[in-house]
Amino acid sequence: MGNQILEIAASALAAARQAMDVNAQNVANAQTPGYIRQRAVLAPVPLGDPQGRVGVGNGVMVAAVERLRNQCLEAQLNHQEGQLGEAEARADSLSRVQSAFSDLNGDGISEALGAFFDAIEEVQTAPASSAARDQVIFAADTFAQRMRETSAALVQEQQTVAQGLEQHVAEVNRLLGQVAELNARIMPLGDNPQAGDLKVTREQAIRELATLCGATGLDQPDGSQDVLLGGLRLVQGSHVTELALAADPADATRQIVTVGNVSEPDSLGGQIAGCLAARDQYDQWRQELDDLAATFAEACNTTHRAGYDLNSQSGGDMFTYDAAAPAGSLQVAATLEDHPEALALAGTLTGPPGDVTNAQNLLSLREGRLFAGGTQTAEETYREIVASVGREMQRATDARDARQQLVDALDTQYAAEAGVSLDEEAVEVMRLQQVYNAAIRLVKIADTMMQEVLGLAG
Amino acid sequence: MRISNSGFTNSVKRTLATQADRIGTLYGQLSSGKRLQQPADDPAATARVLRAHATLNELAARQTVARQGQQLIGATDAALGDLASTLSQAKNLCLQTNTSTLGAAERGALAAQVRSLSASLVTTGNTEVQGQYLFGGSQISTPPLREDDTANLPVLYCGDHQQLRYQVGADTKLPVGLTGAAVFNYPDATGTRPVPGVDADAFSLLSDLADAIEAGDTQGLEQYGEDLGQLHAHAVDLRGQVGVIAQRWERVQERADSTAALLNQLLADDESVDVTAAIVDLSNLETAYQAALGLTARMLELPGLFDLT
Repeated sequence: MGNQILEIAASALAAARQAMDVNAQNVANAQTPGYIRQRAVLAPVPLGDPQGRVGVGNGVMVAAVERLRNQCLEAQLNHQEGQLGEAEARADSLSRVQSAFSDLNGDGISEALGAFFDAIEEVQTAPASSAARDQVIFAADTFAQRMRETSAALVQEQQTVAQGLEQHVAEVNRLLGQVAELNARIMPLGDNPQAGDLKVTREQAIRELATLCGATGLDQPDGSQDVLLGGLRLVQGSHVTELALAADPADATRQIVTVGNVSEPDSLGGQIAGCLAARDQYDQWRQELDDLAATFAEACNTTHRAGYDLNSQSGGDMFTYDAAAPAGSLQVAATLEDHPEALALAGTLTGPPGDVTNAQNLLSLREGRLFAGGTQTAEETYREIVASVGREMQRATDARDARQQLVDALDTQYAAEAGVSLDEEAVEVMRLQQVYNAAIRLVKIADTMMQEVLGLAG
Repeated sequence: MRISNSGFTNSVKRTLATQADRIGTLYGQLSSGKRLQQPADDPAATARVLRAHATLNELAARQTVARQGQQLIGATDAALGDLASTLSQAKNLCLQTNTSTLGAAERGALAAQVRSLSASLVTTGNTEVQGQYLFGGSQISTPPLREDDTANLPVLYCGDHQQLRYQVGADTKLPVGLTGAAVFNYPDATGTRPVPGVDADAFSLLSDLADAIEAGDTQGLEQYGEDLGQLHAHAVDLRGQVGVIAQRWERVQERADSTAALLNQLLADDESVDVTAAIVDLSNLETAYQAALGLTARMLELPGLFDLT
């Protein structure tokens, strides 16, 4: 009888200590990112008497160490993390590009374009003055320079995005390898509590994958987690299908993301999708700037060629550019640099100094509706580009803020369920301590009883 | 709701970061005085602000052109006044000679007076404003009138018949002067004179008048007197036209001024920060931020159950 009490008390001591280990692990990881609190599930040790004698039981044991994981919430959180990653990558990139459109500070293309026409308007009053002519050439040069700078900023950001893509893809592949390796280590462990820490690391990796590319995890009965990108299985058990960057068949200068033999999967999300979207957006703005630069330069050149300079020579080109990248290469023609007399302001061959007919033709280009199918002037077209930059940035910021709020709300909910509360752990430890103390008392009582029985015998 | 320690700290960090971000935005607006820091702050207002700035700069250029235009027109008006006065004096001299019996010496003195008037009229015709000759048409760099004893005419017109005009805006061109041909009755490219009834320029007429005074040619004097009258009437008429042009330039200037004032007001609405509201918002946010910091510190200092065991 005494032996039975001792055995039961010993099981209680062991179970309480083991359960307190779980609490200690929780306390230690109270601030560990991604850690999910664990709970020791206590259960009575079942009767193991093959004779079928009546008994009260064999004490208590830790039947399992349970991780308080809410898979549904986790999936939602990972999904939103992917959306947030996409919005953040887009907003971060756009904010850098937005600073290149510094028109609100008064030193952008808009200001330079206006100053060019203003200089032409003023040169009418002193068409023979070198200073007034120089001012027109200087204003044209400033405009060309602003175009080049803005175009270069877009190209620079596209390169930054391309580098970011390479880093993201490399990081995704590293994480996929990590998940596969963890799967390989977790599967043999089954329900062993040792698997818990590995699972935390794996879940953290999958969360990072969600942020990077919008991938999701899917639990498998063997304890492994597959990683899915839409219908594509990036990790299956310990097997990995990596992401790769390849040249776009339609445009060799662009890179696209491939998974196996699938190019640009629709389900691609996260920061990688944000980078791709930003890059495509920059293509559009670069094209619009190029169209503006080429059309405007051609209009100025045509008008300028129709006029005559102070030496009664026909005007040459006013601007030069490379047709492959008009905005990035726009320059004032070399024939005009340091040659104000070569500015063709007169409208007739023997145009007297006061003949400013061609200057007035150039000035009329200010209101020339040469863009957007003949509906917009150059200044309106550029303002529309700036407004478009602002709208996209606003959209990206709004999307990021909205996703951030969702993620914050889900994170709070997730932390409420899975996070560690030190007070709660303290209560649990005290409760287990009480069990432990009581078990020691039981051992003492059993010992006393045994001593008394032995005394009777003596 | 269950509160975990990591959930609490994450929430606190997020709240403080959000508040600090708002304070930063308001601080940026207040320090720059501009509500719009980036196009994304208000894309529609950004387009309006850029358009307003472009228009303001355009108006500044237009005001420069308008000032120059007004100056040239003002000088033209003054020169026309001189012309009318000179022609009037010459006509008076003509009448005086024709209605009195004068000796040769007296006639010679009167003829000299007429020639002197002609010389001063050349000076008037070669009026220069800011390096530009007023009456040469588009020949603004060379004097339009040149005295040449060897030529058929006493004074040659070296300008052209192209009236100088400045463009204001996209398609409005306003004249800034008159050609010497129109003023002094020289024939145009087709041989037509501005005053059809007078077949001589002002200087030839004055020269002929001086000769007639010297010669006592009463018949000629009568004809020249009539011609001078017509030229005088033409000068007065031109002054009237110049007055109208001056008014148009004045309207350009006034319209530019009023439009600029209106645009500045619109810009202030769109672009400028409402300082009072921003300061109130900033104070509120700072108070809330300090309260959040204080509260966070106190909550983090609260003892847990582990501290009490």
